[in-house]
Amino acid sequence: MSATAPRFNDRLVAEAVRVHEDRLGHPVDEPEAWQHGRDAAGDLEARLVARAGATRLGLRVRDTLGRWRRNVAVLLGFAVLLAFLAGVITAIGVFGVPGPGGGEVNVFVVLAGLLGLQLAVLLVWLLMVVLRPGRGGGWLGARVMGVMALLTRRLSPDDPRQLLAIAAARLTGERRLGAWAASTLTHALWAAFCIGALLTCMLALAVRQYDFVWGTTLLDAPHFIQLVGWLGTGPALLGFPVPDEALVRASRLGADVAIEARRPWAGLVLGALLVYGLVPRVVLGLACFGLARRAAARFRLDLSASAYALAAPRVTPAARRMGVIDPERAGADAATGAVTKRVPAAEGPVAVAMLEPGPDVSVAIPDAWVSLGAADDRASRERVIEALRARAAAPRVVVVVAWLARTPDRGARSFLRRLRDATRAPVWLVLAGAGTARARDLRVASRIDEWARLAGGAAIDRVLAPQDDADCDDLGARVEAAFVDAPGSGT
Amino acid sequence: MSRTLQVAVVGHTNTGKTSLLRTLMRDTGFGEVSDAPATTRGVEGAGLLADGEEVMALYDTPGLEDAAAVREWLEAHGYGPSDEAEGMRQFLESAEAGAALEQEAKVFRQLLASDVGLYVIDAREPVLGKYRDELAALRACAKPLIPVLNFVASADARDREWRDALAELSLHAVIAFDTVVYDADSEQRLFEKLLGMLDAYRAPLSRLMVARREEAARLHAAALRRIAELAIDVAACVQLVPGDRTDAAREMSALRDAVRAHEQQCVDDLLTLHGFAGAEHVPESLPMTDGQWDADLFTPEALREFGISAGRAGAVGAAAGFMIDVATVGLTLGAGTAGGAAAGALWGSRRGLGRRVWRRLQGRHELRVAEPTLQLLVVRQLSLVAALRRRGHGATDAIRGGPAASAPWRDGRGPSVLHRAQAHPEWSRLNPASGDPRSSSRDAAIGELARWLEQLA
Repeated sequence: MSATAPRFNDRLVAEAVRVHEDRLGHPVDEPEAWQHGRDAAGDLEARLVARAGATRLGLRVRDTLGRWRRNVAVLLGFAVLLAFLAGVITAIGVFGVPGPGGGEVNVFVVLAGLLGLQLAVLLVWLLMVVLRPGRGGGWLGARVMGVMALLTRRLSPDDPRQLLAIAAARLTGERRLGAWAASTLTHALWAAFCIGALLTCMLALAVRQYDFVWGTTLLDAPHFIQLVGWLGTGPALLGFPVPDEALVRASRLGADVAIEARRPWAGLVLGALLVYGLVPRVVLGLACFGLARRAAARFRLDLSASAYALAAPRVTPAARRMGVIDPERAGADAATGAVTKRVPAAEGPVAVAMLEPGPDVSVAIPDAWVSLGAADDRASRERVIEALRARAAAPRVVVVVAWLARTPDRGARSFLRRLRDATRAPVWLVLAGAGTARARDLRVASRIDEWARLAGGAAIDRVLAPQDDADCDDLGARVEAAFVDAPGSGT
Repeated sequence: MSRTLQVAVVGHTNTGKTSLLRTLMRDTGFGEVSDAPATTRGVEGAGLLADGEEVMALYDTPGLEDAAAVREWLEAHGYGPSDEAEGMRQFLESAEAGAALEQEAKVFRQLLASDVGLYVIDAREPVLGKYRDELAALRACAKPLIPVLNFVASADARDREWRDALAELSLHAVIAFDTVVYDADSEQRLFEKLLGMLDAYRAPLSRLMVARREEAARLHAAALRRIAELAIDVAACVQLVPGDRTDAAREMSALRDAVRAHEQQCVDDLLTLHGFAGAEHVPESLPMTDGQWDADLFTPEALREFGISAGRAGAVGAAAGFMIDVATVGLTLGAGTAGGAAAGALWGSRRGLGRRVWRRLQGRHELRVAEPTLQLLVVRQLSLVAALRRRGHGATDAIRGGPAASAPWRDGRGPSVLHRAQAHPEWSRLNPASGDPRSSSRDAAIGELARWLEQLA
């Protein structure tokens, strides 16, 4: 993705911090670390890793990891040296401690001593890789990690060493990473062993004189000759001198020592050590190293872990607030000046207009009332106002029915204002449809307040709101009752 | 692409424009939401991010209240259908746009500056004439407009009616997006519609869709894992009781408090995970108040609420919700472990058995949380997650019809990993003195249980 893509060690640090946060039950809260995570380029994982690495604990873990890596490098150096010395000692062992100048050695004892054990171990390793792909080769590594975790158990819970050991034990279980790393180590150690043995053999063969012999009590000679032929194929391909059939026969124990066979036999031993010992280990070691590298590179943190999941929105927010771009101007809502309330005349018809009716609401209008129509869109509002203007005599009162399910808006206010301007009669606003509003989970009381406020802005003479919860939509009765009340008193 | 996609969210007052932004932003604190007109009076911006990069800018505008007056102005100044767009620009320069019609002017100005408008509709409202006036005025801006039907999950939604009316205005790309009952699919459809309309922004929109899909999947996995953690912690939790005491009231009370606090921590985490950090946003359909379950975990009422039978472990009074394992080398398995699977788990684990025998010899019993209570713990949290997944960030009121919750498994037939957990006290974060709870087997157990829960969910 980018140059800042996290590496395995970064992920290891993040995992160690997660172990701590998991124990804590919540993410470590350090503002600079969060900021660091948000500023990091890349995907969510990269951000979480960057954030974990920037916490104080993460920095301590990173220091510890650096120390560990140096210590491990030293330890590995020692281990390789030991393996090398083991090779030297083995080679000395199989060549025996001959007289001052050399002596007779059994060629098969030499080969079995130098190659036997490690070929057997190699076979077991191969079997493990094939038969138990989940565990094979990783056994050693897993045990080492386990011992490490055990050793750190007594440390304080937020000690970076303990966190790191737990995190490492967990991560190396992923994608066979631990298995390949342990295999690499194993092959490297055996390769060091082979080099030690090879150098010792070369030295011994260079400055001492050995007569290679073979012998058998039970088996037939041709089998041995055949075996030597097979063993010699590899070294011969690399140009090592190997004994031919006649020389092999001549080297049998008890036969006259064939002086000319010494060099080919030495070539066979050195060649076999190289071809069957060192080369496979180096090749497999490099292969395992490559696989371990690949596993480390492909490794990804499990982001569904609670500590990561809780931290995710804080490093990759879904959105950013930009703030107010076009602010409200103070006092934009123009208030109306004081208006004298109009009082209904004693006689006359009641004119009624519906404000924004819809199929969802209905109300029964008394037959005696004069309908001005319904006011909804611009054209119909004009028609209602025209109808009111067209009347020769002012009605006793103009009743506008509005529904509580509707949100009062400035459009309605300006209509009511113009309606009132079009007549001398008082304009009453009747609020209906409380049942519909309640069915929609609207708070009826606050909706009534909003309509009342709007009515105030439109200089409406009276607002008739339904009593609390009573859903009385009997329009005629409500208006008649209002005539009986003290005239002009608004609700 | 040098410029991010600019989207103006417009609509009549009190239709849920700010709620739409909140839900798209996963931010319950954006703007101000109330069931009243003109709650939003300024234009407020928000950037939607994909992998931390801004891919879309949304603008929350004040509600339109008197669009008819704008149309009137246009007609009064002689602008017809052919030169409406020019007329709109003239209107924004006029004195009216700075005074009585300031809110409307802000909306039109923002729409003109944007690539596309989302016209939010309260689908419970009938298609009134004033809305037609509004749409006509908005179309004068000559910007693509996508109607968004809000509150479609409501019983009295009139979405058919609205679709027909919008089709008449050749607005066919209608989206149903309920900001109260949110679901991830309708969000994807909204982005798809934008993508279909604005091909130039294909790449950023696709990235946003992918990011949102990944986020949803990750969130769900994390939520299930969190519940699995809680269940493993509680299942593996054990309290030792001296053998000469039969009531064990003090230990029970301590265990009860610890488990309650642990459940509350899980609830808090689940709320935080879903972006509902404050308790005031908890769905009201759930038996919850202020982010806490109403019924106490250890009462039979709480079990009944979620259809779990108290079973044979249904001790009453102080011991409710517990099982005391007075195991004598497996001859008596205690009331709570009488289920066949539990006994199997006990026999199957030599380690567990050995430990129990040892404790028995020491004269101590083990006190555990009973299985029905464990079931309740799991199903309560699952129902919370289900409700959180279907809830928009703009919701301030109750949603109707909570998730139907029932016992997740029959007594003794639960996931085997929960029974295994009883043999692993080191798995529980509730056991203070028990080894390293972060052993890899604990992780594996949590993963296994989370997968099991996924099949259930």
